[in-house]
Amino acid sequence: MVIHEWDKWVSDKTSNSEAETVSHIVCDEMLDISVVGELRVLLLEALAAKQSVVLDGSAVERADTAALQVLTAFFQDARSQDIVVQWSSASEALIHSAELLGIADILDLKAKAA
Amino acid sequence: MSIDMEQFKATFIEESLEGLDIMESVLLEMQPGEADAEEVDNIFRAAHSIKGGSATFGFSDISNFTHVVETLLDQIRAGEREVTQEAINLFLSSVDCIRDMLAGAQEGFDINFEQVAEVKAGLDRMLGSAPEAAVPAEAGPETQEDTPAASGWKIIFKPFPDMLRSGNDVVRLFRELADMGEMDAVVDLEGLPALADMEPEEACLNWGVTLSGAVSREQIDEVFEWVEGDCELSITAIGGDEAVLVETPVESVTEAAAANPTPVQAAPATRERRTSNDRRQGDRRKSRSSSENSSIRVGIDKVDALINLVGELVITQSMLGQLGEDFSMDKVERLKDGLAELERNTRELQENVMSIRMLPISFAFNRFPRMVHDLCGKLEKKIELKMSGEQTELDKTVMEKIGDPLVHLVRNAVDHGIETPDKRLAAGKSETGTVHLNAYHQGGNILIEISDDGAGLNRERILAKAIERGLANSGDNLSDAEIFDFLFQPGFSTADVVSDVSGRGVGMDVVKRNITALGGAIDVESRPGNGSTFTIRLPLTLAILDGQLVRVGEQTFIIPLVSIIESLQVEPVRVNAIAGSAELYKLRDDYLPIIRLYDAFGLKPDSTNLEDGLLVVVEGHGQQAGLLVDDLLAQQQVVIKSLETNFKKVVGISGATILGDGTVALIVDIGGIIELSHNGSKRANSAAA
Repeated sequence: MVIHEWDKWVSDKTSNSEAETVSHIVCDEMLDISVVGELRVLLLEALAAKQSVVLDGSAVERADTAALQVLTAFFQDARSQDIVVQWSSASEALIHSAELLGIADILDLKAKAA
Repeated sequence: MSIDMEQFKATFIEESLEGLDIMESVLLEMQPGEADAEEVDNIFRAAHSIKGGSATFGFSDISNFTHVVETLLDQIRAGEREVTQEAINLFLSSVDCIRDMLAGAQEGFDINFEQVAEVKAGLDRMLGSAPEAAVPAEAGPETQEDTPAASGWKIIFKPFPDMLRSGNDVVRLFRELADMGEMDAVVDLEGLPALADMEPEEACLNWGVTLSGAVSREQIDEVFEWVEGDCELSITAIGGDEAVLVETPVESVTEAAAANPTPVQAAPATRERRTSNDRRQGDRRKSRSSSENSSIRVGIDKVDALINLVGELVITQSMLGQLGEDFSMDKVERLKDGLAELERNTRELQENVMSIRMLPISFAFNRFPRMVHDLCGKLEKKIELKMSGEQTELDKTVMEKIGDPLVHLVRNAVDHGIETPDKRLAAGKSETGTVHLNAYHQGGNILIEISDDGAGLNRERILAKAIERGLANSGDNLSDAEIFDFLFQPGFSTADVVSDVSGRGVGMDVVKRNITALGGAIDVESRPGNGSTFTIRLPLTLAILDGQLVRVGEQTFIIPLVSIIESLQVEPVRVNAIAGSAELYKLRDDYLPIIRLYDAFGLKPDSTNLEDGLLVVVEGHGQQAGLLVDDLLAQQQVVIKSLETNFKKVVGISGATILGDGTVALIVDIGGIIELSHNGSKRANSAAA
């Protein structure tokens, strides 16, 4: 349920030449209401950085409505601010949950599923 | 990074305990062989929520245990299994186990694993046995009368903001829908704020869902059953007539306002559903308050009444204010009217505020059905528990303190009062005994009666025991009341056999002490062969008392009216000075110690001559004494302020109050002052020796 890796990633994101232009965010296996507060803060930081964002959702085993809702708001905001957001990979569980809620398009997860 | 799951956990545990209360009360009403669909449904729901919640929070032992209970209940619900007394008892034991496990999870202590394992084994055994012939019970029609499946359904689903916080997840709901047929959800982003403005735990998306396939309305209803009251939901058959179900259940005023309800066009069936839903929520509310919380749930009507009163108070105040600006003597009448109005407002405000602390006594009574049920099983007795006056209101603090004494008295009635079925039959009574709990208001008191139709108290045996213990002499001519009063002596028991239920003689003295500490009293009435009645008389509240104002020197003290027996002028001939400084007053056949209040509190009195003062005869902690005061003043209701909180504990003083002229008056603690005088005379004696 913890998303500690994100901290690490956010602080370590200077490890390569991309560091200046890309923010990496890795989602932990439980992406649910217990972590949405933290998730929101991290995503807000990513927006504030005005850099492209790469999300890694490969580890996600469970994604619930609250978390997906936060991601939806993030994608909407990023689009309106012309910030590019991409998934490096996304788990089946994550994609399926987004599809069920009818937000796979908004979260740009449809393509991954294909 | 720490995530505070504790808040969710606490809510889960609280709600689960409520669920268990519901399960227990329904199970107690359930009769073998009669599976009322709604009853079973209620228990099933409770078990299902506990299972789901405990799995979420990682209490796998609770969820595994509850799963077996749920499976059995599901079989009963489906009419595949009959309700037997054995099953009811097993479920009741399961409720206890789950309650223990929850308490263990909450407090982090070890639970009684053996008991849990035993009950679990019983459940497994029952589950392993083939379900008995299906009872075509009431459960049947509801599930069978499915409406013909439409070609598809259109569902508009608008969660209320708090829905996600209660553990509901739209992903899970939609997954269940997707399992039934082809599902397509279209999200409505209109309510979605920018990430920066977002309250992440609040639901802010709405959905329109199309579900195609042979799906019945009941199936869809079942999916959304858990979010009833947490969302706005409309289900329409595609190609069908019109909206079949539109629900805007209301949890609270604020939510209703936030929910922006859509016009309601409800079919009769929908209304019926709502009603049962409301009832369930009503049950929940009722049981929630039963736990000893430091908070109190107040009806909105009481709050509204207060707001109205405050409004009137403000009007009166402004009227008086205006009057004061250019006052002349010809306006005296208006001033008097205004003050009278102010007094009325204040009195009503006081009454209303006090009523907020009042709770129906059912909160204290609702533990007894289970207790009597269990004791009956243990003692092999047949007892019907009747309760009346459950709506009688009582101050919350008094309620909390009266719980244990009541348990003791009910337990005694069951154990000692009611006879075993064979004895009852032999005595020409019905096999089933009755224990009756009754509560009602009388004057400023609440009376609680615990009566049974058992054998009654054995007057001779009590008297014999009292003589044996030296509490009475064989020649004494004692009234029934005096003899029954021996029951409240410490260590007094007439039970031949000490059972684990009662009979150790521990308790009745504690019962009486607790009741006395609340400013109440207990009486016993008994008729041989017809049973006994214990009547507890309690003040309605502990925050206000009826007091007698007395003057000692320049100070005013308050003596609780309930403690005063009489007041009299001292006749010097009746005063006897005994060893040391102690003085006794001969009142009829008794001798009372005289306590000079000025002495006790170190004050300067009008006169130290006994005949110049007045003697107030009081009783406290079972002892009488005469308090010497200079003068008796008025009697009035006083609001008790704690001296301990505002100053410190003072022996002989139970609290303080503020009088009409703004001065502080101390309330005399009768028990304390009598004790103080004893100690004082002991000291005097030892000094003299």
